[in-house]
Amino acid sequence: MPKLSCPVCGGSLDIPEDALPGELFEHEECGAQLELEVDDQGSRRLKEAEEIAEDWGE
Amino acid sequence: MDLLREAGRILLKLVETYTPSGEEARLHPYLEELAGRLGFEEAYTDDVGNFHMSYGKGGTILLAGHLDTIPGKLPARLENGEVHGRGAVDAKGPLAAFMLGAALAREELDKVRVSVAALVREETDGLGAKHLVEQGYRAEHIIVGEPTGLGIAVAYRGSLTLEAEAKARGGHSSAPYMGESALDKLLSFIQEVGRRFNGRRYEEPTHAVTMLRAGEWSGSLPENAHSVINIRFPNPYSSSEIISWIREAAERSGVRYRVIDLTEPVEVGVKTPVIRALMRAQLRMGIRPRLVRKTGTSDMNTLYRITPSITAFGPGDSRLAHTTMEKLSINDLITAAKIIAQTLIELSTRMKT
Repeated sequence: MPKLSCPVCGGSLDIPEDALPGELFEHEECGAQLELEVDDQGSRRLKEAEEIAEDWGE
Repeated sequence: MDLLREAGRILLKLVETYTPSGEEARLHPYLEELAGRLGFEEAYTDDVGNFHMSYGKGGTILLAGHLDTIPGKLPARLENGEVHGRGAVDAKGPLAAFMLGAALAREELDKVRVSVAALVREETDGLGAKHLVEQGYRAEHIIVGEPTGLGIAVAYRGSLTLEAEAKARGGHSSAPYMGESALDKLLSFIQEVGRRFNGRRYEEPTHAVTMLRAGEWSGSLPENAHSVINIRFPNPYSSSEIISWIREAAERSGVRYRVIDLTEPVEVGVKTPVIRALMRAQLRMGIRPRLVRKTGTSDMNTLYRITPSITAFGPGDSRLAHTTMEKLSINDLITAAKIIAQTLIELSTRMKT
């Protein structure tokens, strides 16, 4: 599985080859929520994702 | 896609039949007829009144909605592309999306069993979900039907409800310093609970005093006082540490307590297979996935014991749940049904490999 680096701590994460742009991942070592970005040339990188929202309800 | 033209009418029919907890069977005849029309191969009611409909053979994907609502009948109507009425949001809209989504995906699925369950008593004691766990129900993936505004739920808090009561010898209200008040004892306990569980957001345990009764006569100190307190707590708090703290606080205040309901918190990661499938389904449809943590408690907390590949998802604004303003847009219902269909396809592909 290809590895990408975490933009928060610099560590590395396994990202499946079939991952879609916009897919969310968690870096278990530092707890960062990350989003996969793919540019026009097809190169992949991770950026910090929006925080998990809080929602009322049950 | 003809099915989707019926989406509004199906939800209206579900909503106009009043089914507070314990009275879910009123909708069983309609569900049976609908299951047949939507292409489900099997439909049955289990021992506690959960209605199940399924098709296919193989590993099971369970779409677990609930059929009951809180009490309080509201007029049901379909107006300006929205269905109004009790349960439109919580949670007949999500249940309708599950049935429609499963029907949409049927032709594209292979070697997988899809089951939609309309569970009972989610709004009270969670009997329907507990029954599945106790009966050893097996599923590889579960999506629980709750209004998440199409968000993907990764966590629900736990819930601990306790009854606390105090007794005292009482006395005349003109000389309280000579008497003993049960209400004073109970209030001292409640204040201590309040200081300990005083959160204002998901991560922090909260408390709510939901019932309080005391006093026998306007001129006497109360000899009996009774209250019900609900505490909500997220991971990593555990019920055992909370109960142990409660025990000590109750002893300090001279109060007796009894736990009357307990549900542990649940939290899953984004790499959970069913969550990944929901995210990918939304991305394929051009929708940006949104993860949510719910401050309440749902059947997801209970059904987690069947499989850790679990989430809760559904159309509807959770702020309208349990209000007189419940309504759901048919467009949101249709979008949710399409997401469910795409998710089932996504999951089934991975279940075969």
